Amino acid sequence: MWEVVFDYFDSMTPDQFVRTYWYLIFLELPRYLFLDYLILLLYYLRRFSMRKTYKEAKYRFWSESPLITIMAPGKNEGKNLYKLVKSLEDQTYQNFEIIIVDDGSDDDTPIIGNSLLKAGLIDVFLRNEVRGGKASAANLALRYSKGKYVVYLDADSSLDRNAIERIITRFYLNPEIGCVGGNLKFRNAKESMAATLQAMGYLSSISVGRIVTSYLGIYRIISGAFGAFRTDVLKRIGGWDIGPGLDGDVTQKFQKMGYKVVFEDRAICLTSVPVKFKTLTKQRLRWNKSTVRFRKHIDVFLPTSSFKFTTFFSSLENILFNVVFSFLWLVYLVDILWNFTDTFALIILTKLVIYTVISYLQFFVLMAFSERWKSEFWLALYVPLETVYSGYYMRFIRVMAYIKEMYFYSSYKDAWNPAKTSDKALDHGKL
Amino acid sequence: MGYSYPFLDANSHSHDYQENIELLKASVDRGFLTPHFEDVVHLCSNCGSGFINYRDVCPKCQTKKHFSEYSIHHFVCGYVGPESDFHRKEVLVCPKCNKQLRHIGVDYDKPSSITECENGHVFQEPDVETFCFNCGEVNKLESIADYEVSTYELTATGVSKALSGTTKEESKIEELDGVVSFSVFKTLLKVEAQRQKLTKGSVSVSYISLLFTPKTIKAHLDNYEKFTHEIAALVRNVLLPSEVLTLANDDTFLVMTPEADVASTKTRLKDLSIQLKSVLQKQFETSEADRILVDSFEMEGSESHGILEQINDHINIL
Repeated sequence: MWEVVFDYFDSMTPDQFVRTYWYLIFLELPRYLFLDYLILLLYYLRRFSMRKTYKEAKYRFWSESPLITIMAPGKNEGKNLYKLVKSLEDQTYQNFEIIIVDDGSDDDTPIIGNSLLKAGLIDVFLRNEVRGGKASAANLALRYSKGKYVVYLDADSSLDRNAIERIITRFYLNPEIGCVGGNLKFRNAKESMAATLQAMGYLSSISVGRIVTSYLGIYRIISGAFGAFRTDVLKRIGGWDIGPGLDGDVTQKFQKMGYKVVFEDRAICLTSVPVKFKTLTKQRLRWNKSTVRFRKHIDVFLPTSSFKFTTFFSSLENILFNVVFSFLWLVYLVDILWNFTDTFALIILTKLVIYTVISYLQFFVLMAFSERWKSEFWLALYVPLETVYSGYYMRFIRVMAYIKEMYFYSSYKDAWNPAKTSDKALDHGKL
Repeated sequence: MGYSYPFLDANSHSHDYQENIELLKASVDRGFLTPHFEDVVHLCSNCGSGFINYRDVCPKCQTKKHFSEYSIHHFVCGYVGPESDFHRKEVLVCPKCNKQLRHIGVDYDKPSSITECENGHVFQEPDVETFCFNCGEVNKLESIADYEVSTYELTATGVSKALSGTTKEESKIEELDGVVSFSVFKTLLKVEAQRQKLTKGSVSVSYISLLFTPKTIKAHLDNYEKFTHEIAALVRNVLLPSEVLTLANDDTFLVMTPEADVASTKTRLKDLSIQLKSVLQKQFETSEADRILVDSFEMEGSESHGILEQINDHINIL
C-alpha cells in the first residue's frame, strides 16, 4: 500500500506538486505559517524591548486610578453571575463599578441580580422586562456607566486576577488606543471533543491571528466576551448597533474615528465554549455571517475624507483572508476533485499529514510563549484532529455562512436577536 | 393604630396604645375576654402607632429624592436610554441616529422603568422605608410589626368577675394572718380616720400595685390566686404589726398605716418594694420587666369626702 504513496510522490514533478497543492503553497503556508510566526516573534521582541515603557504606563495608570465600568449584559445568565462577581472581587485593580443588565430573562436571573445588588456585590442591576437583544442591553448599561473606561464581559466569563489591570494599562501605553481586546481561554475545554477542538483552534489560530493583526495595526474584532473601550468614544458613537456582528461593528467605528484597536494577550478571561457540535455550528454560522454584514461599512474602501490606510487594510485583510480565501478553498476542492479524481483521497490525506506537521510546529512555538503552558500541554494529543476541525469543518461553515448572508440576509432573521429589532435593522440599514 | 375600643378608652384613662393593648391581652390571658379576629394592622415597632409613612428610597444612599422614567429602546439603531434623552420639543427623536420615533411596538418600545436618585445612583427596585409620624422612628419595612386587631367579648368568667368585683379573692384572703377583706379594710380605715381626726394625728394609705408582664401572668395563670396570696403573705411579713393589709383587686394591695406621716411611709414602702421585687424574682422567677408601683397618701377624716372616693382620686382602681 505504501508503495502507492511513494510511487505517487516519486512520479510527481515539482510543477505537478505545485499544481496539486497550490492552495497550500500559495495561500496557507505564507499566511498562517511564515507571516504569522515571523510577526509573533517580532511581537515578543518588541514586548521585551518595551518592558520599561510598559512599567511606566502601569505606573501612570495606578497613579490616576480611574473609575472603570464593568458591564455584563445577558439573558438567563443569573447562574453565572456569582462566579463572575467573585472573580472581579479578587482583581488587583479595584476601582470599578459593576453594571449587570438582564435582558428579559425568563429564569431566576432577576432574583439573583437583585440579591447581589442588596449584598453590595454589584453596583447597578437593570432589567428589561422585554428582551431587546444584546446590543440594546449593552447600550442600556453604557447609558448609566460612569467610568472612564468600559470593560465589556460575557456574564458566563471570569477574569484572571490581573486581567483588568493588564487590559486597562494598554490605554496608558498609547493615548491613541480606543479599545483593547482581551485574550480568551476556555474553562470547559475538557468537557467534550467539540470543546477541546475549539480551545485548540482558539489557541493556535484565533489568538495568534489577533496578536499578529494587532501588531500590524489591522486588528478588527474585539471579542464580545472580554474587551475594554474608552467610555467617551463609545458614547459618542452611540454604543453598539444591533448584531450579529455587533462586536466587529463597534470596533470598526473606533477605527473609522481614528483610534487604534489592539489586542492584549496577557489579559486573560476564562469562558465556556459550546460543548455540542450543533450549538457550535450555529454559533459559528452567526459569527461568520457578520463578516458579510460588514458591507454596511463598505465606505472604508472609498476615498472619502475619513479614509485611512489602516482601516482600509484591516478590512481588506479580513475580507481577503476570510471571504476570498474561503471561496478559493471551495474552488480548490472542486479543482482537485475534477482534475485529480483518481488521487483525490490521497491528496486530501497528504494534505492532512502536512497540516499536522505544521500544526505541531505551531503548537510547540505557542507553548513556548504561553504563560500557562503546563495546563495546556495536554492539548498536544488533539493536534491531528484540529487540522480536520479547522481545515474542513470550520471552512465549510464559513462558506455556508457567507452564502446565506450574501444572498438571503439571513443574519437579520437570526433568532439571536428579537424579530422586532432585526426587522427594523433590515429595513434601515442593509448596507 | 387606626382602631379604637370606645368602651376601654372611656374607662382606662390611658391614651397609650401599648398599655391598652397589654390590658386587652392580659384580660384574654386570664379568660375574661374572647377575641374575634377583625383585621391586621401594621404598627411602628417602637411606639405601636399606626400612623406610618411608607416611602421609596434609594437603596444606596437612602435619599427620598429620586425620579423614575421609562427607558426607550430604539430598534433601528439599538440605542437605549431614559425617555428624556429622546424628548425634542413635541416629538421623540433618537439621540444616536436622529430618527424620529413614530409608533410604539414598531420602531421602539419601553422595556423597563429606571429610577435615578439625586446622588446619581441608578436602580429599579427602591428600598421601602417607614417613618412613624408619632415617634419619628425611621426604619426598614421589615421592622414594622404586624398586629392582629380583634373585637372582644366578655366571657362567662369575665361577666361574673365584672358583676362580683373582687369577692372571690376576698373570701380566701381572710384566711391569711393579718390580711383583711376589702370591706373590713374600709371599715377599719373609716374608724381610724375618725380617731385620728380627734387626736389630730394622721393615717396614711399606701398602695402596692403589681404590674406584671403578660409573660409572668401566663406563667402563673393556672393558680393565679394562689400566686397572689403568696405575694400577700410576703408583703404581710415585711409590714409593721400595726399596719393593715388588703387586696383591693387582682394586683393591688392597700396598706393602712396608723399614726405615721406620709413621707416616712413612702420611703419605707419604696425600700419594701425593692425588697419584694428581688424576693419575687428569686422565688417565682418573675422577670426584670415586672414592675411594682408604690405610693402613699394621707387620709382626710372628713365625712363629706368618702373613703372610696379618696382612694380613687389617687389610684384609679376601684
